[in-house]
Amino acid sequence: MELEWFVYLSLILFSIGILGVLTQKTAIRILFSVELILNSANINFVAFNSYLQSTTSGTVIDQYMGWVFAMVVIALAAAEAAVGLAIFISLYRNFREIVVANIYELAESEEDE
Amino acid sequence: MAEAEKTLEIIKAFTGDSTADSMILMTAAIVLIPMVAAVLLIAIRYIEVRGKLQVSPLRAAVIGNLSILLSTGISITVLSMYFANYVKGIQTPYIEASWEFIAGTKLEWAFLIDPLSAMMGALLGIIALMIHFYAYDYMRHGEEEVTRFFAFLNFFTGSMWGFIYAGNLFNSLIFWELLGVSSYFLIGYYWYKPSASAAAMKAFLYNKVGDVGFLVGIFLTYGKTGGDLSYTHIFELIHKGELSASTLAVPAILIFLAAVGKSSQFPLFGWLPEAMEGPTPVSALLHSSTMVKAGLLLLMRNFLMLYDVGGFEAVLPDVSIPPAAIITWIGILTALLGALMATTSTDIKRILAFSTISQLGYIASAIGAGGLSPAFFHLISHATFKSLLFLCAGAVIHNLHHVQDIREMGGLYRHMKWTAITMGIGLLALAGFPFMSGFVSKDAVILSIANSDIPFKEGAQAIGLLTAAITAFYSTRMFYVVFLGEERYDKEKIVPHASSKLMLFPLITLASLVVIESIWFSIGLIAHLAELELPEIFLFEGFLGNMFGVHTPTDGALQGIIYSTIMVFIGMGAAIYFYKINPNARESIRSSLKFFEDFINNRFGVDIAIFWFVDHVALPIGNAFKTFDSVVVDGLVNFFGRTASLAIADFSDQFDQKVIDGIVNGSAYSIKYSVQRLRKLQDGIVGDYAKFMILGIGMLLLVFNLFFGKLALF
Repeated sequence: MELEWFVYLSLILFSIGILGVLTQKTAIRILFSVELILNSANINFVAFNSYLQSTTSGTVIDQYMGWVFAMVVIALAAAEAAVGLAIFISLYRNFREIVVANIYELAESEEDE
Repeated sequence: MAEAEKTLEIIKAFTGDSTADSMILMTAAIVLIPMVAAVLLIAIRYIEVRGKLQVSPLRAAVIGNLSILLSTGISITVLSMYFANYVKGIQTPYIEASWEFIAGTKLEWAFLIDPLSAMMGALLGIIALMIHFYAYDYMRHGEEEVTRFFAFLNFFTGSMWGFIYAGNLFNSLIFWELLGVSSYFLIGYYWYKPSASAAAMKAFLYNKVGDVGFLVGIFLTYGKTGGDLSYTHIFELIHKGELSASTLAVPAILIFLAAVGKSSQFPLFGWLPEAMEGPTPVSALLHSSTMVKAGLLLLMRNFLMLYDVGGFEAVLPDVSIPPAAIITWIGILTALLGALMATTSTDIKRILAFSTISQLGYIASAIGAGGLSPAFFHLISHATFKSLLFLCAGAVIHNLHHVQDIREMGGLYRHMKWTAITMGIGLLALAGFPFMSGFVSKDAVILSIANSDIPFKEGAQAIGLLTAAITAFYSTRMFYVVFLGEERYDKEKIVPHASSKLMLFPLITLASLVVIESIWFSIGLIAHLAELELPEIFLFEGFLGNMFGVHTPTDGALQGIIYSTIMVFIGMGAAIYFYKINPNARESIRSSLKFFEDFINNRFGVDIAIFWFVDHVALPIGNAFKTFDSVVVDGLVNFFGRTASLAIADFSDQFDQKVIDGIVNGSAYSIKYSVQRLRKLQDGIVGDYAKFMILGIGMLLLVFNLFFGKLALF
């Protein structure tokens, strides 16, 4: 397999993720989109790892470096999901909704000239 | 007398002649030693005033005397070296050395040794040493500031030596002014007395008139000699015929004006009697025997500017040259007026001061008449006997607890015998008693006038002889009134006693000097009259003439001696008649000539005229200038100051308010306005923030891609 196919796949996933972040209204869906972005990065890690293995002779540690990064990213995503969901619950308790477009407490108040 | 031609010979020191080198260095030491001592004494005085130290009068006197002793020794050594090594026949070279003062100009520190400076330096040394010695005993009683006194006295002596050995007009001017300053300090020594400080101011201002003349004269000479003011250079130019007395007439008259101020000649003699406010040693040293001679010395130094000289041969002033005739006539007038004032004065020191004026007039008239050697001759004898007279007068005043009026003296002979004898010797010399030093030199002066070519010389000669009679009159009167007759002082308060030995030593030394001079000069006179062949040193006047290269014809010498002897005896006889034999006749003459006496006591109205001139001419002119200054000049300055500076200030104020403030406020306002628009973007919606973030990253990538191709992702 050529490297570029994986990069295209990663790019597509990344773009879908960005689009999701920009367009989705609810916090849950935005979290999903972030997961997509993270996973596109994971694909890149793994793909470049095997690509570099085939072209250069690395040490034992180099051989698994991309995989290790991918694992770290998966763990990060899991942690993020946990924290994010906790935030959402807290958000829902306070505002009774999780549509982020409707929550703008930090907005510049009009009368505050 | 030798009639061989004198040539101009100039020896530059530091060009191989080691004797000349050492002589020049010695003159520098002569000038510097008293100056250094003066600075040291002033420093001690400063510490004294600060209360850290009290120096006994004796120590100050020792410092002052030692420095003068040292310098006097060196000056006598210089004199003897000069005459031993350089004087050959009538050839007397000028030894000079100069150091650059201002680079690139001819203004230099210059020393000049010639017969005039060598002899005058030694004479000053001897007199100054005696007076310094005397001053300690005179000043130590009741005076706490002996340190200050000796500092100024040393400062004066150093300045005078500097003036004597100065090698160019510029140096002469510097030391001339230092003399004026030291004179001011010493006249005003008792500064707490209003009369003393007024006298000091008067002396200083009268002298200033002459100083201005001197300065302008130097400027004119500077232009004519091509910027080189050294005496030898001027002599060379005159010798070569590139300059003549007729082209130098104006500077010569201006330099004579300087001498008029310093040597108290006719219009400006008013300061000298007032200068007697200083302590008596000061009067003796400055205002009779040395400092007032500075002006005459300056004239002698520049005598080639006064007469038309064909080389260095025998000189007679030409009638067509005004300076010489003017000098003679002013001199002889001063002699007469001074003598008249001395006859009516009753202050012992002022009598001597007026007598000094009179004798200075004699010397000046001799210089004008071309008799340089008679002038220097009389200068030497006058310096000796007048310092003696002042020291004697000081002893009398000291003894009588500062009584100076001769009417409150009398009968002092039996109390202070030695003082009376020494003063008698001095007064005989002053009176011109036959074969005393004053007689011989005064005779030479009158003879030089008689043999000159000035207009109405017979009149001048007659005035000179008349003055000789008056001099004899007031000298005898003074001796009689002070030392003989009844005792008129306050006997309850004052107990006269013999002067102390410290005081008598200088008196007797100077008196013996007068006697030696008298014998010496008389031998010369007799040898001249009898046409004896004696070593040149005995023919003192002719010897001086050889030194200066100026010979005065001596026709009618015997006649002149007979005339002046008759005049002296008339004067002395009149004094004895009016004061001892028939005092009533004196009183009747006095009452009938009251107006004349008042006229004399008012100093012939000269001072009144000067004050009138100052009050009614000088001050109004000054006030007019002051008014002009305060009204016109200040007005213009204020006008321009107000309008122009106010306009500039207004403009800058406007600029500040409009432009600077405008820029500052405008930028602040525009930022505020744009920020008010931009803050609307802060809407609190997380999605919008994310959009801006993506947009920003996209733009960054685009920028990197466009400008830094290597970082491009696509």
